Order: sequence, then C-alpha cells, then structure tokens
Amino acid sequence: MTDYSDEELMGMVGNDDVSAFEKLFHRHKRRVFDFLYRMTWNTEEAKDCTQETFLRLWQARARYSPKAKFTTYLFQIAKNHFLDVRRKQRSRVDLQRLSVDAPEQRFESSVLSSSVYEAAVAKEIRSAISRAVARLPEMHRVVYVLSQGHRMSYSEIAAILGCPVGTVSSRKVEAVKKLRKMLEPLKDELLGKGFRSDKGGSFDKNGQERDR
Amino acid sequence: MISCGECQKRIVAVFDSECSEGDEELISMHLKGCPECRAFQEEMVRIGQEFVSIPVASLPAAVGQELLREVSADGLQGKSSHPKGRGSRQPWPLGLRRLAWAGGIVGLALIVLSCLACFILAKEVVDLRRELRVARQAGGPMPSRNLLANNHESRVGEILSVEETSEKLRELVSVAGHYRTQGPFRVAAVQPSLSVSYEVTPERLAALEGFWRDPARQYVKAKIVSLKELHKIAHPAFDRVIQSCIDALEAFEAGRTRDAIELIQEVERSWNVI
Repeated sequence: MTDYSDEELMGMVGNDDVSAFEKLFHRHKRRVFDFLYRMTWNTEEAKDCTQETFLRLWQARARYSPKAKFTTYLFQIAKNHFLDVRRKQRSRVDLQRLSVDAPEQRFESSVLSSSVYEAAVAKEIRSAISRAVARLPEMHRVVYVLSQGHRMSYSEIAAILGCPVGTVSSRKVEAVKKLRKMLEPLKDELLGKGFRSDKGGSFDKNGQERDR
Repeated sequence: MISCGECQKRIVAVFDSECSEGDEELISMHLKGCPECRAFQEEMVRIGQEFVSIPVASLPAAVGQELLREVSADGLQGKSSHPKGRGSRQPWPLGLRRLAWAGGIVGLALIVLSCLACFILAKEVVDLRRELRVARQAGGPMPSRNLLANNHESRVGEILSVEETSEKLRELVSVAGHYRTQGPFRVAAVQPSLSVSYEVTPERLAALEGFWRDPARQYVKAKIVSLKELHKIAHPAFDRVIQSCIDALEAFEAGRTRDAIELIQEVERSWNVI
C-alpha cells in the first residue's frame, strides 16, 4: 500500500477502506498540521483543526473525484475549515496564546555576550514575525503560509483558494509589504543578521545567495 | 526600466520561482539604482527565512488515535451509510414525517372549521337579534319557533280554552271603555287569531265583581302561568306583567276596583316595555 499514490488511496477510501485512509493520514498529517499551526499559532487549535480536516475528508470520501491533486483537495478542506472556525470566532488571534515564545523586552548588547545576544535577537525576530503573520488578513495569510511555508506554486494555491493565479501573486506581494510595515521597528535587527544582498545579486528560494 | 512596484512584484515572483524569462535581468538592473527595492528584497528574504525557521509544535499522537477510532467506527457501518459528521443533522424517520404532516393538516382543518362555525353562529345571532327586534316592535314577546312547532298540536286545546275564557272576560270587561290593555292575554298572540284586547272602564270593572267570584278566575290564573311556562320566557318585564295581572284579578276579587285599574295601567306600561 505504500506504493499507492494519494489519488489511488483516496479511491480506496471511497470504498470505506479505513487502512487506506490511515495511510493518507500518516502521509499528510504533518503538512496539514504545519499549515494550520502557522495559520493559528496555537497548538491546540491546530490539532483540533487537523483532526477535523481529516474527518471532513473521510465524510467527503463519496464526493471525491480525482480531478485535481489530492493535496489541493486536502488543503482546500483545511483552509475551508480554518476559515469556518475563524468566521465563528470572529475575533482576532489572541496574541497572548501564541505558542512561540514572545519576549517583549529588547536586549542590550552591552550586558549580553555576543552569542547570547544574537540568539536573543533571533528569538525576538521570530516572535515578531509570527505575530505579524497572525495579524495578516486571512486570505493573505493563507497565501503567505502556503507559498512561503509549504513552497506551493501559485497555480496550486489558486486551485486551493478558487481564485485566479494573478490574485495569488498580488496577495503575496501585499502580504510581504504588510509584513515589512509591521516589522519596521525591527528593521535594523532584521537586516543586521544573516543574508545580505547589498549588490542586488540574485538569490534562490531559501534566500541563499547564488554564485555569480 | 521598470517601476518600483513592478520590480517588487517581480522580486516576489522570482523568490517563489514564478518568474518569467528576463525577470531576473530586469530586477538586477533596477536594484542597482534603487536602494528602496534592495531593502525590500533583503527584508522579504530575511522575513521568509525566519518564518520558515520558526519551530512548529509537534502533532500530538492522540490526534491520530482518536480520529482513526472514529473513522473505523464509521467505516464498520458499511458503504451504504451516508456521510455524517459530528454536527450533521439526522433526517426524520419517514413515519414521523408523515405523522407530522397529517397532524398539521388536521390542525389546519380544525382551524378552518372553527372559523366557519364562528361565522355561522355569528350570522345566526344576528338573525335572532333581528327577529327579536321585529317581535318587540310588533308588541309581543319573542316566540320560540321551535317550541311552537313542537308543541303546537298539543297546545291548541289549551289555547282555545284560554280564548274561551278570554272571550268571556272580554265580554264582561268591554262595557268599560277608558282603558285599553293587551296585557295578560296578549301572550295568546302566539297564535294571531287569539289576540284579544280589552276596554276597561270603572263601570265594566264593577260589573266584573260577580265574575271574579266565579271559579273560572282560578283557571285564568293557571292558564297565565302555564302560558308563561309554555313560552319559556324569562323577561323580567313579562314577569311583572304576569304578576300585575294576577294582582289585578285578586283586586277585582276583593272588590278593590281602583287598585285593579291601576294595576291594569301598570300592565299596559310594562307591556309597552316588552
């Protein structure tokens, strides 16, 4: 059964094959949870959403037709469930619940050693980024998380969201601009560490400078 | 040379491997002379790096166990079972649905029948009031049509006997001419041919003295009461008429002619009220 594709396994699930479903679950649970965690920044909520996503997948087994990639179908369910939950809650993400530690104090290099200072700054930057992503509008956040966190293509994201590819592109640009604006106070720390491209050189997807 | 907005859009596209041919060259040319777009590129890359490096909590193992247990339980029910969720609605059983429909239809029919009955009763009440008004204008008590229809044959003899008595009375009373009454014997108007009227004068009333000693007096009194019973009339004014008639008869019997006349006048007034 390990050789079956996702679509084949889903076909078996359509015939009430629980073991095929179990296989699909173990194959994709991590990605779905990762996506939902980055959308909510809350372990419990992400866990519940993941569980509900796969439950909905099981309930919809009779309606599945392999027209699109299975992962597109799965992430559609995850995204829809996330939006349903958010619609019900109608509240902003409680930043106090963020799983990522979010130290509020700034660190002074004069009182910390260099390595400790860099670690503290890196932690602060990540905390600030997670907060900023949580503040993005939901559709921008979905695009950013799927594109940045899951390396999905624009066409795949467009299929999940049910919108044109151009919309995905513009949402991604908007998301980056909003993040930049929200992280403006940390600009120095952000640019003072890691990758730099002062000469405007090209770069790969992981931000690594290419050899020129 | 492309604009900053266009350049930033292409920078994002290149970063996401969605660029077109020649994009990178255009971006490089723009970046050489645009520190703002260079900053955009650097910050975008750095934010992306840091975002990806944010640790994600591990998925609790209990999630899979709970989910698979639920799915297994559902799967055991077979393919014929409809997809159902924890929050999905269960359809009504067919019998219950039919019962609900039948109950609704019966309820609706009852409401319609009630409205119809109210309408008919209201119409009947209006008719009865109209008849009562007409009867009052005619000067007599409201006859009970059903009672008359049922009792007409059996009461004819009694009514005729009243007529005989009335004729006798009228004959005696007609010598007096100052007062006119349709009082106690007007109840015989249930049969129009039995209507009687009297002209009472002191002289005639005086002539009646001998009459009221006659045993027929008792009979007349009894007939008045029986007629009242016959018509089931409970109008207080009618009661007063009957009582006044009885009192008048007693006054005649006692030789109190003046009192009898006053009583007959009262009967006349009461009768007009009716």
